[in-house]
Amino acid sequence: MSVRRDTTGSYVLGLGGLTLAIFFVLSLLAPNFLTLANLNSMGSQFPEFGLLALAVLPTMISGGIDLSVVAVANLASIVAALILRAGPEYAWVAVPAALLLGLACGLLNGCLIAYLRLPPILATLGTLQLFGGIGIVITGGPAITGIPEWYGAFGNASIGGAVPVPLLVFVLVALGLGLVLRFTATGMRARLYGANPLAARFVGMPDKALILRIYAIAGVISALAGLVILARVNSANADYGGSYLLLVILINILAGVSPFGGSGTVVGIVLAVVTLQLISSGLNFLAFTAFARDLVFGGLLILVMAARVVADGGWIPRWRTRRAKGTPA
Amino acid sequence: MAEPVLSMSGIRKAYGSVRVLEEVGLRLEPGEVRCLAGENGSGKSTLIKILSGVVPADEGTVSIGGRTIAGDARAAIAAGLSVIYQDFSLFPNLTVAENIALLKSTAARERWHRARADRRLAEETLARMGVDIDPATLVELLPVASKQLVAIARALANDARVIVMDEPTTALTRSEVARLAGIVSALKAQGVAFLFVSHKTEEVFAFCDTITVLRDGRVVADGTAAEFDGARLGREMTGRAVETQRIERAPAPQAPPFLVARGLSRRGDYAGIDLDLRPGEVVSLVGLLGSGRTELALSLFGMVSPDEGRIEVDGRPVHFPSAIDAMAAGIAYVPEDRLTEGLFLDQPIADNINVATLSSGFLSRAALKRRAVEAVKRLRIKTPGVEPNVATLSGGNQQRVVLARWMERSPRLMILNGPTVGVDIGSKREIHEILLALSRAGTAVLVVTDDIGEALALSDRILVMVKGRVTGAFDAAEIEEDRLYAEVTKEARA
Repeated sequence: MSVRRDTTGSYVLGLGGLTLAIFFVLSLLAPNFLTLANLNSMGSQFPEFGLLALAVLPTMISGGIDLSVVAVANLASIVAALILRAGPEYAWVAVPAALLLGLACGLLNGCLIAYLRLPPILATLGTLQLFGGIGIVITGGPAITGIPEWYGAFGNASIGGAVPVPLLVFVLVALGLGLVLRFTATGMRARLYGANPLAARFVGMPDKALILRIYAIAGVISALAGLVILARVNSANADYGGSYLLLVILINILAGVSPFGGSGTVVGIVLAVVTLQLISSGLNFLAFTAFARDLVFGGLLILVMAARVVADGGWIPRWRTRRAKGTPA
Repeated sequence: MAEPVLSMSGIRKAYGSVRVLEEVGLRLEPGEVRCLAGENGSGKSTLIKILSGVVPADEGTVSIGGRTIAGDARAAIAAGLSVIYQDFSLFPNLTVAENIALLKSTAARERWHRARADRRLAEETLARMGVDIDPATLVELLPVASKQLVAIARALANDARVIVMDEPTTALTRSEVARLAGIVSALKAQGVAFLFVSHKTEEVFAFCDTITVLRDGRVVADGTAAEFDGARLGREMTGRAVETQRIERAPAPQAPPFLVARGLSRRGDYAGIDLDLRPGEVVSLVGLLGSGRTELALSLFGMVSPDEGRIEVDGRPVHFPSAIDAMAAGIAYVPEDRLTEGLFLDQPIADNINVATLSSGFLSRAALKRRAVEAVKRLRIKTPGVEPNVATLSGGNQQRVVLARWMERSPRLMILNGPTVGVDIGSKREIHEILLALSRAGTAVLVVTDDIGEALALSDRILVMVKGRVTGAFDAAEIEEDRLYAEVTKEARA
């Protein structure tokens, strides 16, 4: 998670600087910004898409992508909602069932990619439709409401009155994923596989098992995001969070994750998520229209990518080395 | 002497501290066919890059058709230079006519796609070459030899006066080579000059007027083709005095073989292969590109499966469905193409070394780093640390990283495909020493190569592979270089 690779390192530092700068500017410009209530409200907003961004991270590091994360989250929240509604005696099943469902969805993605060799972008585009469709069929369209109050209360609670539960979930998942990516063989293999899948075959990397595991992780984290959404919104909907998918991929790019695989850090994701949340809240505070948000996000994204390409050569040299097959004489 | 259409003189080039070219000169008259011969790493590709203006020279001049070209690729093309690379750089999804006309219409800044004009140009050009290819065919449907002809036609259509071809005969059958020779001599009569770049010169020989040999970045021989024969060419390219100095070693112990292959065959690649690889012995498998050497080596590592035959390890029959199984049996494989198959280029050196020895579950980063640092020290890899990306290293040091990776596993059989391709001479010698040390420690070593000098310097036994079959087995201490060269290229010429 810490800064290891030179370019990614300085990039993440720069992103950190940007985050702090935005934070200070907003604190000065908007008097109510730096209040516990506001920080608390922000802290319960971003974990849901933050979790989804974390779910995508390992797949992008391995040179793939998971477009089905939002659909998995919705399906998990629908299943959890149905179980919770069925009666208090089943309540304990809801969370494990949702997580298992996420695992199964992730494994399906992994199988399509590892065994059928479908390109990840197409495989998960397909499952995005599939999981979304299953959700629609189950719910028949409208949102599932009537969730027991205690579940929503739990989701909206704050630990010690300051740390919202969703934020706590996000922090724990970020720590756990960071640990896996940095300190386990799976994490290291995912990065190396993303950097050069052919060389990975030549060192006997168990690539199929690796891909299954990576997409399973993505599935489980997505399901967790679904549980957080269910608590916050108090209902489960098959087409909740329609704009999240693009947002989540933008977060990954903003976080310095290479779209070609081989690099990306949890720290980057956390900073990118916080930055976007700050900007979004800041615009509200400064009384801009909600439409300005997309404009600012898009502009920021392009600015950051351009700065990165100009500053350290960014992706273009990578693209070249990837295409150059010859041996220099 | 006629006015040269191409002349290069005093070319020097260095990448960092590595000198690639020293005082290289080259000239080509209209209608001349010259062969630029040299082994991998001799500086041929750099010279061509400088010639085509892709890379600037540090010193020296390049002039094409009387115009001076200084690191400007477009000026080189405008002056009449055309380089045909091994992959031909054609558009497979376009027709023959479109491919042939594209360069010219682009150069003429035409705004409209004119199918009829394209077709006419293609027909004229193909007729000029005396070739019968339907201009309406999609290029992807053509056989390799025809694609090559389309690439030549494209160069001609763009008014090329000098055509450079990189390894033009490697993928061609004998009759296709003969056809190419016919076309080349027809174009030669029209004043087009050719420069064939090759390190497998046997066939190119047949239609070259003059030969320039490059070794270690210098021109070591230059003359008419009549002054050369296969043996002299091999000698000049490899520089026997430096290269084939055999490293002194004790006779290999006659231990029972670690790996035995009997009757190994794979359709289209190799047939009836018998191998015995013993601990402490270095065996070289020498063959030209397309001889099946690489496919055979990959089969021993589980990357490609043989159709027939059996493999035994320690006397027990084995079957390797994947590299993982071969690795479990104690086999290591250093691949042919370091950049695409061997290395994780933009990843740290440490990870590149540790990747084949990861335990599952949690890793101790400190232990991994320690291991990498030790390996770097042991193999004398020149680097400020183990954190920088492996792409920052020179070819020789990169190859040592790949070696270090496998040595961490203490393999019982190390297979190396082209272990010193693209490695400078000094590093080459050191890599050979590393392999011999490995062998002395009891590892069976199989070197797959087309570098005759390397095979002689390293091996106890040499197996010659021609067209998918092992056609000769020699004691490395007894066979002479000229004889071995003749053996390796024998069938290819006949």
